[in-house]
Amino acid sequence: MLRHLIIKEIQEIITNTRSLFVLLICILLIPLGLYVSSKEYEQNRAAYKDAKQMYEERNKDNKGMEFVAEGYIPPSPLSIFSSGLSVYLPNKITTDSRGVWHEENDYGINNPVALLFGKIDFYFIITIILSLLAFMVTFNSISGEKENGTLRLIVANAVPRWKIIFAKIAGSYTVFLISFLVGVISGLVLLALTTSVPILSVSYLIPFLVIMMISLLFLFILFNIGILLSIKTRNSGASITASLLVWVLIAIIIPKVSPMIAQIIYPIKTEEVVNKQKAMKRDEIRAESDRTSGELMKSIMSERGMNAEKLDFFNMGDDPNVKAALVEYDGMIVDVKRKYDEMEINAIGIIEKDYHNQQLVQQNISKNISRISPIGCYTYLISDLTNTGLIELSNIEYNARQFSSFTESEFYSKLRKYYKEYHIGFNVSKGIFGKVDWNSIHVPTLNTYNYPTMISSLGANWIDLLFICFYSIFFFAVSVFQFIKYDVR
Amino acid sequence: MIKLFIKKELLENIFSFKFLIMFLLMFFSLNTAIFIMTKDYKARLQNYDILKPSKNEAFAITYPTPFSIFAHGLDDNICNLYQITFGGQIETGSQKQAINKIYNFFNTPDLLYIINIILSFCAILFASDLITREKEQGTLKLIFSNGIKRPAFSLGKWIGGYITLIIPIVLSVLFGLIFFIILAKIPFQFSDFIRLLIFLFFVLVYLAGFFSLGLFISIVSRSSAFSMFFSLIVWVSLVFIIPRSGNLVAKQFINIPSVQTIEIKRSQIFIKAIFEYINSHYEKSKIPQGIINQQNDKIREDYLNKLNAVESIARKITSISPASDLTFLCTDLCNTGFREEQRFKTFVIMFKEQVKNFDSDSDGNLVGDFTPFSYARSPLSDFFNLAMMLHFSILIMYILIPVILGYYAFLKFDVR
Amino acid sequence: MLQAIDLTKRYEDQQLALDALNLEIKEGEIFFLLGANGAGKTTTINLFLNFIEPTGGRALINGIDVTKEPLESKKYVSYVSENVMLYGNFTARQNLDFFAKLGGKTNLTRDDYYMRMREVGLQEEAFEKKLKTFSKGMRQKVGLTIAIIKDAPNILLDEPTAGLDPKAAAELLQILVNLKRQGKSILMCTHDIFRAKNIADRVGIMKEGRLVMVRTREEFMEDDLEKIYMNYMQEMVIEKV
Ligand SMILES: Nc1ncnc2c1ncn2[C@@H]1O[C@H](COP(=O)(O)OP(=O)(O)OP(=O)(O)O)[C@@H](O)[C@H]1O
Ligand SMILES: [Mg+2]
Repeated sequence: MLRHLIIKEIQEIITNTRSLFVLLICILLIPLGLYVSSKEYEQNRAAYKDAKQMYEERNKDNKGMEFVAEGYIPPSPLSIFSSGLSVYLPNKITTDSRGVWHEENDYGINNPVALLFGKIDFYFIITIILSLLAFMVTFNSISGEKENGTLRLIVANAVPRWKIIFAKIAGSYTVFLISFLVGVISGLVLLALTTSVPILSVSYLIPFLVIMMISLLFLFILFNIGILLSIKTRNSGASITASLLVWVLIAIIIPKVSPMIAQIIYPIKTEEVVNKQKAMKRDEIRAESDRTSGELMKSIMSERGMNAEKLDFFNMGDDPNVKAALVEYDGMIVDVKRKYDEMEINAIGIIEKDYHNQQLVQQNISKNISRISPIGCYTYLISDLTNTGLIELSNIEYNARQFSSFTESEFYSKLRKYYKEYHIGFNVSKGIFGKVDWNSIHVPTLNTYNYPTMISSLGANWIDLLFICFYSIFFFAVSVFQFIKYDVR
Repeated sequence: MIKLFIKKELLENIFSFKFLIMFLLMFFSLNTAIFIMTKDYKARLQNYDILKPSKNEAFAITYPTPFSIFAHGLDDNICNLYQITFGGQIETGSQKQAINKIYNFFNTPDLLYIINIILSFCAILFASDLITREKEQGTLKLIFSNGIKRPAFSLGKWIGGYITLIIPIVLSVLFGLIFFIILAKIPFQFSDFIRLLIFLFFVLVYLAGFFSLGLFISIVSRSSAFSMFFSLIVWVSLVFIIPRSGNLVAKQFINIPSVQTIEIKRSQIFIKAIFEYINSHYEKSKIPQGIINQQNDKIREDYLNKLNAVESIARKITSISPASDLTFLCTDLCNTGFREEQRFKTFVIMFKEQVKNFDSDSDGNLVGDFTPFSYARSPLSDFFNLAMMLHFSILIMYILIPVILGYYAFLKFDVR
Repeated sequence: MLQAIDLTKRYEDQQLALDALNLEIKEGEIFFLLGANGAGKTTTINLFLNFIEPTGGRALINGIDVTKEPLESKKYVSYVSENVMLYGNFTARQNLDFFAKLGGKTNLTRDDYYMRMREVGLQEEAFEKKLKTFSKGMRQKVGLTIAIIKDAPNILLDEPTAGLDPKAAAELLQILVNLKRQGKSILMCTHDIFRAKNIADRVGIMKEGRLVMVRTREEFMEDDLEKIYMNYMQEMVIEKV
């Protein structure tokens, strides 16, 4: 019985012009999106390689403590599925002999047109286009049959209601799925044939399969919402209106408004303002440091019966008294300076940490708000799976730290050792090469960039995964339940 | 006769479920947008007050315009902090002042965005079953059985439908203006309201285009389910696909270097100059800044030329879509568009020329007594130019072509 | 066998559409339900099909209470609705095939469908045409074929002759007579008094939700059925005045 219902459903949808369009859109857009994203990835990859190579060549002989090591971060290979935050993510790590590292982003914006209108990637196609199509396929699945009178005829038979709705969902979803898969497979074939992305390798296919699973689940949610709306509205005109309203809400309004609402609930300042605050704090502490050192000098001088203010530091002659004072001052100032340096680092660290925490709080608020929409959950999951999401921000930090310690152990500490042994001055280019085996020291490069494993990305996003599963089950159950109570008159 | 049709159209639509939903959707989304963008504007204004350069800072920054509430455009780029440092380099502040990383996932929902996406959506869908529904209900046959002239009917349909479409928009925008802009004391002058009126006019023209397209589709299709579906396809292509692919197609024509490579070239020049300076045993008293600047400028110019070429091709391609035309028109009108960005950047470069020869401190910050950077957004008269006329005429085409085609299709169309 | 025992339906808006209907239609009997628009005929059928819940009383199909065992009861009833649109993109045969399978007839061949369609008088060339190209009467015939194919012991028809040409209507009634001979219980709601007179075993007249009159064939053949009907309808007019 169920089988007949499903077969009829599939037949009915296939004979409808709409499904032809769905197929057409899938076949056109999905390969296009994948192709464009992989071309962009190739470009980014080439730029990355160029930069890395240039860096190596340029710094071949630049071996000294003042050298700043640069680690170039490769673009994420999986970004061909979702570009996520990749434009905003740092793509370079710098680290120096003090072990201080920075993340930098110098992609720049290639073209403001792209900024104004956005991209077509796989993620966009699923969240905007296919989500809309899912509603378009389902909006009159129940209300249409009601208008046709066929629903009465079906229900007049000894078929349990749950089978009818079950078949409805299964049949229409299958047809949609087939169009989608045809699109995806043709996209993969196109990539394999025309780009250098090794799309058929394990490193691509496994994450891709996971992404596909989640995408299918996501589309399933939208499907069920569409069917639910079709059940709850009395004619197909009302169904389409309701579907579109819901689509606008979940695809556009909720995700876009969530960060703004978070900013209203929990306002925080921009990074530039915080930088300014940091600079102010720094100046304040430095001023105090200068004042303290001035006072120190004054007190040392006055102990020796001199007036510091009247001294001409540039023309002191050989007054032994002054010299002794200066030596004493030099001895004491080191501690004072260190104290203020520490104070500065601490104060700035506190500001930064505070700000970082505030950012995290706001981020979580907006994340939670946007999770009302399945698109929010989907976005976080997919962007993290493709290493272009929020996790990547902390992952870059992790890699930066790794790179910094790598640089320290492979480069600076070796140099330091030689410096100690041979009392080499600071300027290497001036060259006291002596017995140092310079060839044993290589300019540090970031050769292996680590991404979190897929399992850990999934694990970190367990809430979103849970929500997606929950939404699919929930809307499915509600549709079935509502249809059982449906008034067929 | 036309009057009768218009009246019937208004009555029929205003009391429909669809109209109610549409009204709610428009009202809700337009007002949320205005509310949120007003808040955002105020926050950015505060931000600007903090960052405002004092006398001896080589910073170039400008105030956010209240019009960014309506069309945010590239205002983040324009209101960025540009610092002139040693060697006349321009350092850009954090690219998008994204406080919250989530912003970057989903871009700004300003009024223009809502109009571009949601209202065009409402317009085309609203129109797409105006005729097919009458066919399905059988009322079309009844009407034509009375010997009605078809042009009268179709004109009545167009006018009546269009009026019902814009009533909620005008009401919502007025509401938003009164409650969020005037009550929030956003500094609008009287002349600014003229800008607003032009903005609203463009929006109405834009929506008329989508409305006409929808009506045309409704005339040529047989069932409302199909016409709605087909309208959606048209809508998705015009609003999403064409604007998004413009950049992509343009890139196929011109090979543009990435900013990264530029950056590297620049530092190569710098290092080369420094080495020369060291090798010449400090003979010249100063680092050869002139050469560095010259070469840097050349690279920059080269890059900018290519960028501009890509941009203009992309602009042309995307102009096919009325959504992009509206974006270009409204961002320019609101002083948040390309033109304003370019203008601002030339001001920054002028400022750089003024200050670049000042000394720098150990951090590379320029110090000295220069007049702080100041910038005023372009006046309204700058807005009227050839490019604007071009975009506007494309918008008009989107009304004319479907109306003319639809008119003929409707004359020949059989009522069955 | 169709039975209604004190069957009552009051809609959500307090409209009393059916007031304690008592009715029994035996095997091999055709019962015609007459009545003005809004009298409660469709409501009765909806109650038998469990499309709506009764607010009182019971409806039984072959002794099975439709509210208690809706699925079981539906095995024994087939239904022809007022205005059948069916699946426009399916051919007549595909529509039949689907509904036959729903009705539990899974082993029918194409020829079986053709035969049945021929029986109701559908033109040969229409069998494999899409239903959206059919005229209203042709669709109605396909709807009837669906009911015939199910071969259930009870048949409910809601104004099946509306939209049929006189010849087709006559053929339909002939088919009903044949079905009756096979021992089916048939409940048909109609406004067609002439047809009722020709083939009904019993006729009931409904007014404002009540079955105000039932006559057997012998009884109504004596009096003129049309006259009886008009009398009842006029009473209503008088009552209202
Ligand atoms: N869903 C409903 N809600 C409220 N009242 C209803 C509903 N459906 C029918 N009615 C009322 O119940 C009464 C009986 O309706 P019903 O459809 O059974 O009439 P009918 O005899 O089939 O008429 P017709 O000959 O026009 O088909 C009518 O007064 C009608 O107004
Ligand atoms: Mg009825």
